[in-house]
Amino acid sequence: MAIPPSTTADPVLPGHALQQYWRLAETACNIGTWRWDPETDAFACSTPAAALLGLPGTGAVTREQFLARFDPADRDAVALAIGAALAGRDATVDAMPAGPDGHVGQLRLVGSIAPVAAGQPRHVLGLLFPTPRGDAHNAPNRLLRAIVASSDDAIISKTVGGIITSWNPGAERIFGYAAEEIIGQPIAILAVPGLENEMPSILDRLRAGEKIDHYETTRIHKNGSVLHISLTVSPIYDDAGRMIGASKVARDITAARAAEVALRDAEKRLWEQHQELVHVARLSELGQMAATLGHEVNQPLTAIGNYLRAGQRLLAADDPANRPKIEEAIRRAADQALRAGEIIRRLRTLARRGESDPRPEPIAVIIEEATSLAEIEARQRGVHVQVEPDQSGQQVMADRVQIQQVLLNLIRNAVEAMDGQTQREVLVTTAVLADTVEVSVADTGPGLPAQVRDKLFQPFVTTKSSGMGIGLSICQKIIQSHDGRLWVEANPGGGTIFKFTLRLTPPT
Amino acid sequence: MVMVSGIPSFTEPFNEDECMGEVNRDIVAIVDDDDAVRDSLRFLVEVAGHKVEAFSAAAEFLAADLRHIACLVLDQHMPAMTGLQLAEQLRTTNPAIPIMLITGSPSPAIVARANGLGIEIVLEKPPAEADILNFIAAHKP
Repeated sequence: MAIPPSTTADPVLPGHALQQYWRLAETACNIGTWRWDPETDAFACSTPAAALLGLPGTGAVTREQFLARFDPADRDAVALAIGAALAGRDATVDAMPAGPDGHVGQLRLVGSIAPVAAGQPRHVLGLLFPTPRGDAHNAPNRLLRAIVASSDDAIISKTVGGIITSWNPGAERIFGYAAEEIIGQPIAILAVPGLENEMPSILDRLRAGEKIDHYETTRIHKNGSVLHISLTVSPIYDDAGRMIGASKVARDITAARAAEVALRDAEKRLWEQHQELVHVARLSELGQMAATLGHEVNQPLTAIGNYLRAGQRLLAADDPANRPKIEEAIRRAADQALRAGEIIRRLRTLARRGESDPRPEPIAVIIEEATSLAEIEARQRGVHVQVEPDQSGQQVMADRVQIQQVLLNLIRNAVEAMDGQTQREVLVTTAVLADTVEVSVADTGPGLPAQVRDKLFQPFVTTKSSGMGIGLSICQKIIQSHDGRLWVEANPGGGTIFKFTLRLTPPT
Repeated sequence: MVMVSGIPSFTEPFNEDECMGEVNRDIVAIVDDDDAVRDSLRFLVEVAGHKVEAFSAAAEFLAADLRHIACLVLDQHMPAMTGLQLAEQLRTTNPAIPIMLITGSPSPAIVARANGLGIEIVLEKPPAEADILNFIAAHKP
């Protein structure tokens, strides 16, 4: 008998005529029957069903053995259909049998729960037959299946209601859920908490005919970590052109995103280190300036002491005629106190720490501020610094302190380059070009050897016996951060000219 | 220390303590390139009752008539020619003029060189009034 064995009288085929009809249909249409008893987990197949699935005989197998007769990619769908049937719904699924293609083609499995009398165990009855030819085009072919199965991207389909209906190995890898645990679940499981609304809105956009192509968003992995994915979603239509679901391809871009963030962090750290280096260089500048300015402050202090002692003497003489002289002594002492204060103030500005603070400044002010300290130092070494003041009245966008640092460095280099020379002059000039101002620091020293000039702006290159040689590389970074350029030329009259540019800014 | 009232007059060509046969060596010379220091020194020394001639550079001093110079108050740090370089030259031409050297940084090298040149006193800036005026009083005839 072709009817699967049953421990009870089979309510599906109660009558003899029906049995005959059934046998004819079974043979004519190659229809197999099956029966699953959830209590014992016994799957029984008729001879045609066993033949379709390649089972050796009609003996009962377990559900697992039954599912194993289907293509791995379809097992979940078959299991889902059987589960749906047990839950009381009519279930239909198309699935490929396991094994080499061609021997039977795609199969359709239908099932439903059998009506049972009270006290009878429930069981599921079903049919298994080749998918009718007219329907075959709806089913994915083997090539597509292979592509889906081997894709690194997650390829997921879902119903219009957002229930997941297929889940490839790529999806397993990316989201961490196995197909069997997530098929039939709402897609919202993958939403980042708080962003659940995004998914229905994606479906709405699809319905409106919009294309969702490489849409970057976030999803949540089974382990709770946030994934950055690039999403491409296409609608699935039935024959009548109704949208019945969506297929989405999700690419994991978490690593690419992390790399992007790491790059940004690295750039930020580099900038912070640059700022720090500029500050350290300024402190070393400060150390050199401290000795110079200590001497410089001693001058007004000496003068103040002299004037006050003289005033004291004049007062002691108690002569009204001394009064104008006393007043003069006090006035001159006060002037010198201001001079001392001004020197200290400049030193303090140089020590200032912090981010670059560019603001519009007149060229003349920038150059004057910057050269005043350098001039003091140069003078103590017997070098005259000539500054041709800017007459243009133009403004530049610059951090005063940093430009001061650059000019101090360039002028000090110039002064040191001329050690032992007879003609020792530094000339600081400015020239306004189209949208920049060019500042030149020229010395009358011996000039730079070519091999030094080429490597001049690299750190730790120095012609000096003392110093770390970071000065010029810092100077260049400062000027570059001002969107300018620092370079060196030979002085036609002998010596070296350092030039840098700063961007002009319209007067406010 | 010389205490005076009022400001001495510089119109008198000669001092009472004139040495026999020689012109009066009664002028205090000051050489300092810093205007404020030089002017204030002159102010103080004049108030203390001495005649002063001030110079802003070593060369200027060396070119001057030094016959009336009683002593020299000299700054070390000057461009072109330092105080010690001036002292060295002066020792060859006018070895008798006593020198007080004022320096912002009296390094051992400077002090040693000053001693070698027979410089009477080396003072650190800012110098004490008493040190200056005692030196002048001691070396002005």
